[in-house]
Amino acid sequence: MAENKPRRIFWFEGVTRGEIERSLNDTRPSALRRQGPRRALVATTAVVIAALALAIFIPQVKVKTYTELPLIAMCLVLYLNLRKSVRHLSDAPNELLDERQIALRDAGYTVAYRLLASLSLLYVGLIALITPDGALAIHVHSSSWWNILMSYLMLCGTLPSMVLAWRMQSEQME
Amino acid sequence: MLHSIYATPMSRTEEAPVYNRIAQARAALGLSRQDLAAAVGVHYQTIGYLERGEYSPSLSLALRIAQVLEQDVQTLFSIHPFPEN
Repeated sequence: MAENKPRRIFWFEGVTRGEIERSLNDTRPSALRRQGPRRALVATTAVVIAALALAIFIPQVKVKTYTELPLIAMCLVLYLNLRKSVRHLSDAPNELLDERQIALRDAGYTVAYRLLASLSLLYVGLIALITPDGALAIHVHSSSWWNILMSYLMLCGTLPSMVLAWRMQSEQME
Repeated sequence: MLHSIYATPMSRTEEAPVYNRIAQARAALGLSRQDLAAAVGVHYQTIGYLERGEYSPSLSLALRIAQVLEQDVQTLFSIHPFPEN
């Protein structure tokens, strides 16, 4: 029987073997290996994601558009750095991790899921706030749904990395 | 409520510590952490976490480590602290 070739690209996880292996074996010193800078990165990401959702309350469409685009760009940059700060643990498939790393990742996902369930209620509240026939019916531009959707998708994508980055201890020199 | 959300332990070590003598046994054989990690098939940082008692290994990993370090598993791992030398 022919041996299976090791997979180079993990489509479902959105990562490559090389990317994960490079990240896991990177011994270069980096501020992102310490808990303080990592937590600052998490806090900044949370603020940017919240700002993206709250941008719906900007009344001028032009100002709103000019605010959204930098926020989305910042979100993406922060997301990439968050992944790097946790050595891509949150996205890596089982076959590239050892048992400690898998346990760490899975514990992070458990917390991320609970947080996401709670935070989803805030988004539901925000939608209720702007629904035209709702009790509060705050008048916002019709493109506001896009802001809320983008913010929510960013939250879904980044939350596992955010939780891991927040909870992981500073790395010790081995 | 928030505390219970965040209280998910990062490893079993926080609930039931497992003490070990991996560092001494590894040093006695002249192996580096990288050598041991490669021999048992884990990341080199995991050996550091194990030696510092920050992670408790699965039975399978404990047996593999014991085999590579040429020790009985009960000589290497204990749920009680080892006496100081």
